[in-house]
Amino acid sequence: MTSPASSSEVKYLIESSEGNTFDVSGAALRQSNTFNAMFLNIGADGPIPFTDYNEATLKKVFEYCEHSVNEENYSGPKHQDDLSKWDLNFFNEMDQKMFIDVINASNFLDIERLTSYCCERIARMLRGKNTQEMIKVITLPTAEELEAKQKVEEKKAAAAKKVAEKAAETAEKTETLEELPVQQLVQTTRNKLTRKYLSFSNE
Amino acid sequence: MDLPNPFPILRLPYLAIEEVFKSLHPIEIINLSLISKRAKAVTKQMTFYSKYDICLRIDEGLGIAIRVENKLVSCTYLMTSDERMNGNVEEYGGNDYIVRRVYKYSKNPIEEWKQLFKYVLDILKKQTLHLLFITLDDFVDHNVSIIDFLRKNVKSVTECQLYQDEVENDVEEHAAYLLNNLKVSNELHFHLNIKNDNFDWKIPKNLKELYIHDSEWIGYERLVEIDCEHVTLRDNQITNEQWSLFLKKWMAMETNQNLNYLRLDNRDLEEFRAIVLHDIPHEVVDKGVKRNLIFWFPDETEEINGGIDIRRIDGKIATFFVQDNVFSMSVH
Repeated sequence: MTSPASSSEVKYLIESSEGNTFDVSGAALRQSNTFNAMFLNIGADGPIPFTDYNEATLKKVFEYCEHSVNEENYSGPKHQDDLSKWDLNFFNEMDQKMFIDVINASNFLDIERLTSYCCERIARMLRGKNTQEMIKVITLPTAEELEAKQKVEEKKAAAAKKVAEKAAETAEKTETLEELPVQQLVQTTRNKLTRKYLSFSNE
Repeated sequence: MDLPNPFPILRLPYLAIEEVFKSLHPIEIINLSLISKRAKAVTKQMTFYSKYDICLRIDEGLGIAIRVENKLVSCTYLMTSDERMNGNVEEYGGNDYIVRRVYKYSKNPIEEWKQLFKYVLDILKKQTLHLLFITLDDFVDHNVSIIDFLRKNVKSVTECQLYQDEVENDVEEHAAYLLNNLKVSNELHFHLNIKNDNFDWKIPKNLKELYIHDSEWIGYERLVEIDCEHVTLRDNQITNEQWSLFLKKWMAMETNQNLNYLRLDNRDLEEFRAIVLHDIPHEVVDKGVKRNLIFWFPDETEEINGGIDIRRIDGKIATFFVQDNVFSMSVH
């Protein structure tokens, strides 16, 4: 059923990137500000297409929403220590890929509570760390590596430029050395032929 | 269970990154920005830095503090020439505030402090310095270069606190250089011992707060030139005749029109009435009358009993009263 939600019993059909559909309660969906802005007042004819996200991710996201339907209104990020056992299990059973997919989907659906808890888990990785310690927890080349990479690229570019310049120079020289004699040769040949023709015609 | 390392934080959606950044300490944000060019670019995109204020401390230590939401969180880099202190973190606080200090070793602390400050300004997209706390006789040889550096890198200083360690040290020239070259926009706390009555500095007008701890050098001429909202002149040498003249000018709206509160050394109210107000129309308000008057910066009011009122030509009233051993003139 896909009609404007007025009670928690109302179910909506959600469509994933695989084209699969599944039910989500109106109460759970209303935690998504994106849904509220797009469909709450006008309803939806048929499945709601969240086709940028796969079924597993969407189910995970709405599993969270279904669970937190009865929790009190969201009032800002919770400290990690304040998370319930259920919350902790929910996060712990995700691998990194799923976790990232969930953040992306939660961010798109604008589910404040879930996004905030996910981000708090990430922030924990960075807290109290200096730059060197942060490098270890972030997938990123370091400034030195980038600089070294840039230097290598600059060297490569300089070398390539040198080769190109040399090639251009050689080509230019070749042109000067080879093309002129050819032109001269052609001209000479033409002259000879002309002379020959003229002489022939004169003959 | 923690997230597996390494984690591609900077590849997350912008709003998610911002959410992560919001829950970090400012120093952690700066640390993160130093990881790579991309990290720096991402860090600079954040839009919530308006709640951050940058403060500088130049005294026995050189510090850069980033305050969050009016001191709820304060993160300070402290330059140190003691290599063993490098990276040390001190953290303390109470229920509603956290202070974190990170020590940063450098062989050339002043230069590195300047570079770090420029970097912090750049990352947090700030052009104003919230607080400059400077003890002018601690880095005497560097004062001019520091002032020149600040003039070049910040448009204004919201609050400036000037100190000196030893009263016998002559800091007047550097104080004047600082005040003539940096724009102080809101508050100035002046804790210097100025010996020269011709101290070469014009007090900026329209400050919210002007506090001069040792104001012997403020004569009548300078007094009538001040036009700030809250003024404290301790140990001033202005005579009773000059105060009387000043008040007449104030009533005629010829001076200090922005004045809301003037705090002076403690004195007896009756004596003040007899000597200063003797030829000024005034009204002694009964002690049973309670009024909420400005008593402290910023515009904090307190219930005051009685007092003596004078009236300005536009109808504004100034009440003189003594509260907590402080002699005050409060305009309402």
